[in-house]
Amino acid sequence: MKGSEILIKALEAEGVDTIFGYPGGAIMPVYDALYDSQLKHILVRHEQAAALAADAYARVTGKVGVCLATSGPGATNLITGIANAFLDSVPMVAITGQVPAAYIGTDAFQEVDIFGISMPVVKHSFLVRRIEDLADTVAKAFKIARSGRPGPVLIDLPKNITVADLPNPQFNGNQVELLSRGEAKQLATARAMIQEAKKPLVYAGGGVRIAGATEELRAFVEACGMPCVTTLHGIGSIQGDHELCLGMLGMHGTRAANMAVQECDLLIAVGARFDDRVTGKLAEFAPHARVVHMDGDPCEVSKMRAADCGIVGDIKVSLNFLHAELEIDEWVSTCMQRKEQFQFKYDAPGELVYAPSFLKELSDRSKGEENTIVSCDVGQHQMWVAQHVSFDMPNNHLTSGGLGTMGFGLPAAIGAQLASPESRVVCVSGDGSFMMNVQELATIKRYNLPIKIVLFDNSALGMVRQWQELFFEKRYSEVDLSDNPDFAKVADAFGIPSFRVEKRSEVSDAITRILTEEGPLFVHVIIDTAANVWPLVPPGKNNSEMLEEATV
Amino acid sequence: MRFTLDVTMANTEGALERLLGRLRQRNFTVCGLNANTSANFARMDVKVTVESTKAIELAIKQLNKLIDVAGVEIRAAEEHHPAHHQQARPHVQHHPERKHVTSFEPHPSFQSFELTTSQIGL
Ligand SMILES: Cc1ncc(C[n+]2csc(CCOP(=O)(O)OP(=O)(O)O)c2C)c(N)n1
Ligand SMILES: [Mg+2]
Repeated sequence: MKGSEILIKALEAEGVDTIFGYPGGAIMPVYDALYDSQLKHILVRHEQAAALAADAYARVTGKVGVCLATSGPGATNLITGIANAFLDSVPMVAITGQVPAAYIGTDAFQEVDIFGISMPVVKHSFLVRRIEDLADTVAKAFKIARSGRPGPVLIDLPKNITVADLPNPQFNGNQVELLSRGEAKQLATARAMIQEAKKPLVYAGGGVRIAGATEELRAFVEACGMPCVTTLHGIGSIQGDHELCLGMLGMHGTRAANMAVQECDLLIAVGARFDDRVTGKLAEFAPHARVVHMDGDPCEVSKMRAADCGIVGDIKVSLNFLHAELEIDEWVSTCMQRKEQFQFKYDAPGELVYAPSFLKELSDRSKGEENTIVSCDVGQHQMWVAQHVSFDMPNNHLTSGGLGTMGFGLPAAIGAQLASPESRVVCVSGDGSFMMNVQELATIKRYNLPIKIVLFDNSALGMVRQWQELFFEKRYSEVDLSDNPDFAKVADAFGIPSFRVEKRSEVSDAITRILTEEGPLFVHVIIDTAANVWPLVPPGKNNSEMLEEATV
Repeated sequence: MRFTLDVTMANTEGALERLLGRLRQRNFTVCGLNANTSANFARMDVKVTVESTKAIELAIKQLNKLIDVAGVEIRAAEEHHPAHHQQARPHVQHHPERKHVTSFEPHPSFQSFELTTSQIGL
């Protein structure tokens, strides 16, 4: 059997059915084998999009995402997408063609050391030297990608391997290694701490989704009756409209969430990593709290903030050991009262579309039978999605949290729609981010994916503009995009129906079209260039120093 | 503090690079290294001395996370003596990331490689 056929068989043995890629010289033997295979190959129009789509496909399906590229520029184009998966702990296998082994190290045409280039942003990597190792390497790569804390694994595949022949190759699909629950002693300590606490608070992160522990988290929060805040990636792990959910904490978090964190006497971090966007000034974060830190990755516990009790192991199992009956009515009602008091307001003056209201209405009206997945890009619109769209499941909110990759939204929507054809997929993008992977409109058209794209056009790199306004004395440097192309025409040129929304009065009808039209749709929404994301904790400040629009 | 670690790892492609890269990126400066493969090349035994203001447990956890690493043990710990240290190698303490560049006197023959801006056409 040819090496290229062994690769395809090995992928099939891992249960792969869809891969994202782009062909080229060194990977041609694999594309030749794909020609006869049952694997569904999605041709993107830039390798970065292949990696980002595979990333979203993995988030939605819970399986390992697979992307494929040729050597040299194909491989380097994957890097941003691989790094995105690395920083958000998404299981992925990236396969790159490489020049034949005899040419490695000779600066051959399209030779780059992708094994070396990718090293800091992969969980592990392989360069296949012998065809005998190929099937086993693929199995190992999948196992590593999805076990423990998931992440991307790179397989660099020299062309001489894919064209070589091996009689009777062996395929041993691999089993996932399971994490065990935390140690009994630590669990007992944590339970005692929970029982003693007067103002306990759960701080849930992306690790909840990764561990598949959404139900367990909800059961724990409800059994203890304690309030819960989430990180950007924790959104949806507890239902956005759950009464004990205080919303997102951190830089653009809710006032109720940040105040609860600053006041609590016990912080139970569940699959969260005390990221700087969450903590603000670390030394003043949750200053009165003892910390219980639960994570699958031992490296996270006490990395940023010393834990009084660290529980390393499977969150899904550990959480069940921590249920307790608490008498914390006073604390809970303080939190609830603030949640009520500091609700988001949607009464912004003016005729222009107010993006938070648009998203709130979209969120409210999309509740129903159909599952809705929202992917977003990076910037102000990303924060508005986090703040104003209510999510019931973490997999329905696709956002580039760790790397903050502008250009994530469109490829992510493609990966999500292919992963879940029956879901409604909405991509919320910004005029800056959209241009980073605009070519993927062609992919949407080719596969006729019914993705709804909402582009919030503020004629600016809005998030950067906001920072320049607030922290760089309004010295607006290279953030003006007022010469944007006519985006609706761009979408039309790709064969995607489009329309423009300029006034508040048009929003309702626009949302109706988004919710009811069958195929892909592009909605170009003009918003105020001066709009900012509120509230905001200035960089380097502690989370109780939140700025509101009126205070600036 | 300065620590010497004994690391036992599988000698796979890139294993030593991964180890060094991980230490560097997590802010542990390598100040000594000895690495030997076993006779059949399957295993690599590494003795590495690192210096950092970070707790050594962070380095150990990070190394243990590498797929190739089978075990990490502390072989020696040494208190960092800034005064003595500074005398021996003046720039190590203040500019760890630039220490070699700044503390080496270039060999006289290197000077012939110095280009003026006019030579390179600026
Ligand atoms: C690839 C990449 N380059 C640069 C940045 C820095 N950055 C963060 S937000 C932002 C502006 C995004 O503009 P837009 O997509 O229009 O979103 P808006 O903030 O206006 O909603 C920039 C440049 C980034 N996150 N990613
Ligand atoms: Mg913008």
